[in-house]
Amino acid sequence: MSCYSELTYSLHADHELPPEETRQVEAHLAACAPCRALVEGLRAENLFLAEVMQTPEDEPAVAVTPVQNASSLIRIFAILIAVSAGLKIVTEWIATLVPGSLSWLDPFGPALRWTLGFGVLNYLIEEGAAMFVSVLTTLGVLVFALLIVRAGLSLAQRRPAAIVLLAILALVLGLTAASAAERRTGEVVSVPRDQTVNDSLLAGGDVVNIDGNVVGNLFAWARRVAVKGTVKGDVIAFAQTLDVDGTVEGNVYVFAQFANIRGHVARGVYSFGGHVQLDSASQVDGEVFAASSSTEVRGTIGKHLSAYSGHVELWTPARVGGDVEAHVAKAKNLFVEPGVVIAGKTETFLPTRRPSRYARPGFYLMQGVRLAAALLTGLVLYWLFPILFAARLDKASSVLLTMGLGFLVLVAPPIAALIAAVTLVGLPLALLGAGLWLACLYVAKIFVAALIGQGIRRSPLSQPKSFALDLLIGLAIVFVASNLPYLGGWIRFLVLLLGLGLAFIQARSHWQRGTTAM
Amino acid sequence: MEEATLREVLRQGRAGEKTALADLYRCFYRRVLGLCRYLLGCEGGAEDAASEIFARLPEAMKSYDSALPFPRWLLSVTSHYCLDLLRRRRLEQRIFEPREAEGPEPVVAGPSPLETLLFNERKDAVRAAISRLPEHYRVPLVLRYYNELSYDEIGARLGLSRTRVGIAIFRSKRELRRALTMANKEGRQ
Repeated sequence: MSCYSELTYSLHADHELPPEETRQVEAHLAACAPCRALVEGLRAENLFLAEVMQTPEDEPAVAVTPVQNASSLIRIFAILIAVSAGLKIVTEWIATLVPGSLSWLDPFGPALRWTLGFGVLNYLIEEGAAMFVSVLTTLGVLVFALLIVRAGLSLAQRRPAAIVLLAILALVLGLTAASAAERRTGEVVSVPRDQTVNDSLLAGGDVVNIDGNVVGNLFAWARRVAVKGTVKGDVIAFAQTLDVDGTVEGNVYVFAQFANIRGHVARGVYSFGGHVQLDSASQVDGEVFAASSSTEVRGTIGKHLSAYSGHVELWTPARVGGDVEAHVAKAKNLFVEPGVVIAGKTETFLPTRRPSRYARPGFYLMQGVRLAAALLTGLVLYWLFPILFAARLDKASSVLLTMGLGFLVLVAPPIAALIAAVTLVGLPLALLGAGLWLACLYVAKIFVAALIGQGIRRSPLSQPKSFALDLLIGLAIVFVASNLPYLGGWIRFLVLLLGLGLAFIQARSHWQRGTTAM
Repeated sequence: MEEATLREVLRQGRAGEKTALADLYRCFYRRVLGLCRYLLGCEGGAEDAASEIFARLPEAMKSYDSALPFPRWLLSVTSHYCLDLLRRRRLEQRIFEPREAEGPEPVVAGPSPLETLLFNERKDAVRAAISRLPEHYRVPLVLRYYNELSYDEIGARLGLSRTRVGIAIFRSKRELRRALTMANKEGRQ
């Protein structure tokens, strides 16, 4: 018996053949494997068609809703930025009113800046750091996982092999992240007197006590770090208080509110923090560099002492083998007790009032060159991706929203890059991302300039004529505005936010259109 | 929506309560819109049609008898409305731009169903291909697989014989396979 036509099979698959014919076809199908396969295929196809049609499509309008919800978040961000900007302006204004004798009260003055900064930092370290890190890690992992799942889904629709690759990548990333995140914790980390650590030591905790020996470097992160034993390498400490009573055969790099050196440091001391004190028993063979609110020296320094401090005091029996360089606000802030031995020169550097940059012709030349460079970059960008310049801002609220978005774009990539950089695999990605981000920072003002230029030249009658001229006008305005005294920095910042937001919105909408068009 | 709640909502809807109608809209709008899209094809107007159907719903619901499940009934109303629209469009077309007579169908040995439709997992591509089919292929296909009507019911709506419906569905699937293979090839290039 010969096979039936495909049309007959199509009717059969739809159960629309008359009963008599159905029986005949069934009889044939029982005997003919190829026809059976064809009918199976047709039935499966019918089911698939019904399923495709009856499942509602993913509406783009629905996909937009979460963004609309997120916009309230963006609004909050925008408000926060506005408030902080306002605060900054007010504090700057107050700073100009405070007379010199009260400058120690000024939280942004040189004397209190370090103290305040370290106070905040210490608070963060003690209270918030652990929480912050865990929240950040969780968020980062979540975002990363979501991205991978999303990418995997869209790839799997086209290339199933890619999902295997992605799974391997995720596994590798996860493993490296897990091993990198392993750390030692404990209230007190101590190396007892009779113990020797034959390697570098990474110590984190509330208190770190080194009574024994460390053959390598010591990296310590704690509220209080005390070195009573010997460290053969460098000491790098981040702490509220660092006490060095023992011996450090390398350098001491310290970021602390109080750094007290009472022992022997074979090389230099580099201190960034509130108060640096070199006790009478202390001996530093190398140089001492201090950027702090106060620097007090009673011990022996082999080479130079340079201090960028609110106050620099040298008391007997201090001895300095080299020069003393004090960068202080006023000459009387450097105090040298009679009897202190200084082998080299003693120099006081007072903050000099630089002549206004607006008075130098080079400044204008430089701005001109920058403007030309920005114009060129903008034209190349326009030539490559004209879509990026298609943005329009109609309402004040959308300006705020875009700036909020821009803030996210400004803040999120460095965090993501940092998280990615923790893993070995993520490092090149992080570097690439950071490079791209820096490029975006430069390009941001060009978008805003184009928008301003087009906005100015757009009139109801004329069509936009020359993009180059628009861009030039816009850039000129942006450059002048961002070089205004006092306000310029803030304008530059706002322009940056706006530009980043614009670019992000345009790129995103273009990308979405691109994927749906495929 | 649950069976019981649906019945309650329908009762309220027939009484003309706004919230009940809004519930129905939320629940069924996308399905109605989907059917409108398929039936009206890429010429568009699906959104307008769907809104119109919901605007007329309070009036239409007076004729709804609970013998038929409500979703089926609503989709049937939708297909009626869309077919009307299409008929009107054809009429206008005939008046303003007379179409050339339909030639005989090109007989192309199409690809077999298995390798195209089934392995084409991108549903949106399939949807797009359906909406690009010519109307005389598209409408029977949608009535068959979306509304799940029998050949006889489709024939009654379109004024076609049962055999013609079968042929139309057969050809439209062949056309769909061909379109999808082409799209796939283009996609790969």
